[in-house]
Amino acid sequence: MNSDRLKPGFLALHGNRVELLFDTVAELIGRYRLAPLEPEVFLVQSNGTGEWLKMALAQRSGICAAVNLQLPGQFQWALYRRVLGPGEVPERSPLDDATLVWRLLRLLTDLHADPDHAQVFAPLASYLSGGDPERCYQLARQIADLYDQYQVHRPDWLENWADGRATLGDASGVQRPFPASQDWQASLWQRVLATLEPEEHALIRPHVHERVIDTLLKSRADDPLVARLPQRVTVFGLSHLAYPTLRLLGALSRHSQVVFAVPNPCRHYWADIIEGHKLLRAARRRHPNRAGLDLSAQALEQLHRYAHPLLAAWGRQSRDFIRLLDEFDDAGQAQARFNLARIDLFDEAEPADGTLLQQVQRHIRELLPIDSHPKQAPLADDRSIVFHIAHSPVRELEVLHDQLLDLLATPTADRPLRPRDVVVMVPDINRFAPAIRAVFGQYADHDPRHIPFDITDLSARGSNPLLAALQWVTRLNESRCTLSELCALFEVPAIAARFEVDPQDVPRLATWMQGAGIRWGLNRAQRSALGLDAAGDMHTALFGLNRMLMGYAVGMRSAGAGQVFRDIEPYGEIGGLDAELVGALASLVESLVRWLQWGCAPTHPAGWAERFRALLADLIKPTGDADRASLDALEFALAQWTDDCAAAAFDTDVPLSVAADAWLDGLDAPLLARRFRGRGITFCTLVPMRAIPFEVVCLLGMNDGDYPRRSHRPDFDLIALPSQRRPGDRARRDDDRQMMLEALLSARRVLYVSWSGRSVRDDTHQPPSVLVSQLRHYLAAGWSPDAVAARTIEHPLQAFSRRYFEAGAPLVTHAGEWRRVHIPATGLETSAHRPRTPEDQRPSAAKVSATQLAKLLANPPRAYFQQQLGIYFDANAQSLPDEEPFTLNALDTYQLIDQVIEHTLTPLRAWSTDALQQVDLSLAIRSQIDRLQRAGALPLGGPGEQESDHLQALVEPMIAAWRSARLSYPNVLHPVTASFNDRGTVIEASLDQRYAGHCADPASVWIRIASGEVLKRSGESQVLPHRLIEVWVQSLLASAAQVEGHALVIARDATLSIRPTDPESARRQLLALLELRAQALTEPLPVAVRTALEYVTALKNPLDAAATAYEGGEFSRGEVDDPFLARCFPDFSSLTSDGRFQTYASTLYAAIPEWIATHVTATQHPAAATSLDDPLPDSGSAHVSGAR
Amino acid sequence: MSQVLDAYGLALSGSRLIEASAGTGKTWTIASLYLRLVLGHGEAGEPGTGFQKALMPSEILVMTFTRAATRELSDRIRKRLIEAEQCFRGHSEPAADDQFLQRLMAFYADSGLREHTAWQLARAAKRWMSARCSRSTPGASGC
Repeated sequence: MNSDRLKPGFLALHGNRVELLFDTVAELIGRYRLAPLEPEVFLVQSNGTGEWLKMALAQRSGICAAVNLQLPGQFQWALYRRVLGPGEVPERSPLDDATLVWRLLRLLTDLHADPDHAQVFAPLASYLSGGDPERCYQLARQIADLYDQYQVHRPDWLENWADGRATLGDASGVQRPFPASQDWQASLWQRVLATLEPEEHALIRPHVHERVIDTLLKSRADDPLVARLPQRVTVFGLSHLAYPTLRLLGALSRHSQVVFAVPNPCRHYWADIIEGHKLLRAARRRHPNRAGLDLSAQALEQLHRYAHPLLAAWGRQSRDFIRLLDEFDDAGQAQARFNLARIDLFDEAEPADGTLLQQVQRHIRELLPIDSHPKQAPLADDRSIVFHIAHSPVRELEVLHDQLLDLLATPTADRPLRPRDVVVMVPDINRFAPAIRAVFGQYADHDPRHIPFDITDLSARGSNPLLAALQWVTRLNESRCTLSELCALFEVPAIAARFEVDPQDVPRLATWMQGAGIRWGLNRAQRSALGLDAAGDMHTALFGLNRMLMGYAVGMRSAGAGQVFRDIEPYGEIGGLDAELVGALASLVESLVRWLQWGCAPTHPAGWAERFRALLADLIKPTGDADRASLDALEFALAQWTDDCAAAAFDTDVPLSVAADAWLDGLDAPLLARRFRGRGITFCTLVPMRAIPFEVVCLLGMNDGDYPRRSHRPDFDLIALPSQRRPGDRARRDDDRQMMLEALLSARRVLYVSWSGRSVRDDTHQPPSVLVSQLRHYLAAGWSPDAVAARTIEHPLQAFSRRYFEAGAPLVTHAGEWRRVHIPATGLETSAHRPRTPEDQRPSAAKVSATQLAKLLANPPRAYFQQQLGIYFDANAQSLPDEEPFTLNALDTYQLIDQVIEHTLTPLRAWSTDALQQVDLSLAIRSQIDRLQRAGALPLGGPGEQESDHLQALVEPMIAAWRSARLSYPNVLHPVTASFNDRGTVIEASLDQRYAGHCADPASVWIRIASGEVLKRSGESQVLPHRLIEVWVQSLLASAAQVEGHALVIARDATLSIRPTDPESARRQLLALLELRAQALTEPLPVAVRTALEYVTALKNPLDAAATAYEGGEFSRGEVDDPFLARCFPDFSSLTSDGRFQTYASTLYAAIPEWIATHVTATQHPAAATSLDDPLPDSGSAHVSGAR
Repeated sequence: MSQVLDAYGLALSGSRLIEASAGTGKTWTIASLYLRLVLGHGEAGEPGTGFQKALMPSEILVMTFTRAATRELSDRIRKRLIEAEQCFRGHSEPAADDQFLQRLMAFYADSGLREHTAWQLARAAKRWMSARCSRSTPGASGC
């Protein structure tokens, strides 16, 4: 059988392009065929490379089958088991990263119990002094990662520490002492080893590793273990591998074919151009020196004369790897053994006139120093390297979208560009993903500007709402549990499905929850756990839920009837078939409360697993494959975690926060199975060793400080000590430089770099990433500064900037929608944009209520926006309130007075005068205010009591005035509808609350209640005209329709008695109002009601007075604060520019003060309490628009 | 005791406070001092005014307020390093009013010394640690 094995050996293929490497690998595969059914083993570092490899194999031979892609770490442990036998080596190391965490956690919690080593562990003990278990867990994870790294990169240290020698051996074998206060690392490691069973000591990674290498080196070709080894292992596209792993593969090559396909940017021997080359001592050198010059003899100061600057700046990691490989690589022998024509696969020098990008790539390949660069400008239309500067990630993406459309549409000599030829790499995809979806997702499939796209590398927790919700639930014991968070739970489909809530009903449920007074907290017990017992249970979810259920049970309880059950004020909006939504909320709240009860106490990992499974069953019902996949992943992570703990014999109680972190952290493990490239352009994070070729490579978000990314290494990482550097060590900084180099080399047509080079706030200059600066500097030095400037485009702040549409501008955009904005005014008069005329309008709205008409009069531009355009400027309408009321503003007070009066009067209206005389009004009002308090409409505690007293004082005189009016007019009359018809347009007002006097005195009245004030505060009973607009319209209508009687307006501060108008003049005025309405619905009319009234009532300088009223004075806010007015007429001069303001004011609005002077008599309430509130911001129409 | 600032001669030891109004060149001075730190300049010229050895960017912490200011400072210092490197390589001349750089050039007059200096500057620029910002953790922000 052994004779059938393929000829073993070590082969390193170097090439500057992955395609070249692949061709030779494929040729080898074809030449040396594996046994049937034996899988071809490839080691790759990322899903991207793996996927590319499989596609390439499939394209070459029509099928890609029996291919086994593995991560080097996975492969290594699997190889141990093959060599030593599965009986000898368990499935996982007793000290692998995940188990180590739990061993360490146990040790760290007990640390203080050991007085002997107090000195050594002092640094840790002081960090953990708070006793916070979460802190302890995080530290355990950091240390576990570190020890894992040591096991891979510094096994010799661990060996020494285990033997009690607390020293660090450096690259040359010299033993050095620990840096100050770091010797705990050795002691802790000894304790970790002490937790192992005696037989497990032999199973930790460094020991197994040495045994395996030993066995491989000693065993002969006919050894039975050889048959268990894979016949060929191909390491594809890696630019970094730990030295011990290289040694293992080197040993394996005695029995198997080990093929390295190494992306090497340069054809010459270039190791010496970067510092640190003295540490690389491999005697063999694979590649020839450039121009026969041995650079190792050159002083460091001289090297820049011989080196390519970008390769020198970015290539350290790649250099280390290539040089380490040389130790195992006998190139000549390998070439002969595998019978290959070429093992150095570099493109031959092309003619010098390629694109700028190709020139750069060639210069790197040929190791051309900067002095030998051509120093001439590239072709003017060469866009192979471009820089785009925008103001924010969203703008960067908008610019990218435009530029990609250009690129995709540009005809080319070779194959046309497809979206899947484009890759966009960013430092952190999770930060960019929402912006990507917003910008690239805005064009539907049928839009010619639609570019298909895929986003990969998203963290599961950051992108999956189900997991985000789960994370929230696992933090419930520390959460305020606000209304918006609760509502958000129902927006997760899997949770909504579990509680049988239709997604369409979620907004209604949210409205109910808000209306029932839910603000934060689950129930009183949860608040107590947060230390907020004093807040009681008002505004908690349970409070709101009780109100809803009570409301469903008893309906809207009539005022004052009977006792209140357990102080629960019913919320009466719930009814009909939708009431089962409340049932869903009840189940959810119940589940959460239950979870809080048994989910808060610490327990051991197995207990947590049980609880988490119950939680999942309780909250989640999968709605599709994605949900099922999430649940599988959750279950897998949970099983993984309990396995880890079991392996570490960890069964101590841990709190929820630690358990949940440990569980959910398991979701983000890297998997080779993740899909990378789809049919569209690929958005991904900059990940090392994914240098697969793309026609267009875009780097976005290349801001200084964002890239190179910040390293997350702890500062006690001993590998990072400068004196302990060894070749092959990884550093985040080097990683990011290597990735920049790979990105530059893997672009075939275009390298596109963009960053937020201007502050979005103040437009100040923001520097790009240092790496981008280096690239730009290199281009400027090697070609010309002008070449860089010509390839750098600064974009304006906004996508709709005029600069995109100016003739001859260098900027282009495909967002043609914005073009219309910049077409001069004449262009607007297309049929779609012709202003509507009164004739268009008149027939369509045949019926207007007096209230609508009054609203229109109060603010004609608002009426135009809302009724004609459907535009509402209401900034806060969407957000749910998460806080209970702390104070009441003028608007709140207004609305509360309205409610109290309405609820107090509703029963009283039907009462006889005798009964009315008997009733205790204060008590009736107080019971209504108490209801408000129980419903949570007033602040809690003392401030609430103050507010309710204040309300009582405001309402009492009004109700008293109402009663005295009712006693004077005891007979109830039927309501009538007063209407006025002008050529089909009808104005209507329903006049209810009409009462007549005694038989002897048949005079009648209709009563209106106004919750605001109607008198000027300073003036002697001077009526505020803008508060009476609706009453004015109603009065005109009543008079025109010849409905008898006075009107009584009972307001906060006075009662107004209003005489009817002469019918003829009333009709005339109504006609004028309809005329105004017709105008107002065709355009925003330049009228503002308070300003107009000021203009016609001012005693002198009417224009000045009006201007102050509009723009505001020293102590008053102007009417222009209204968003609709501000949008159309930002200042007084724009309001009055065409003179129509003055006309409307003096013809129409002047009628109101005249009417007040001749028809209205005011009587102040006898005990009118001086109001403490600000005057209302709006007119007297009953509705007040809701900008708080 | 206050004294007139001389970026070229200021002793690089102990703690020093530089006070000046806006726009008088504090950033410029910091960039110049940075240059001296990277070169280990001083101990040969006037003993006691330099740092005991040439430093790498990873060994120097520069702090300021806000992300924007950190970025700007970082960018300015790095540009200053590159400007000086170009001068020492002989690719360009120091600006006429740049006394500091002229004196520094005069100090490292020997061509071998200049080459070494340029290499030190280039190395510092190449290993530049970029601006980073972290909120209110003393010692953790800087560039």
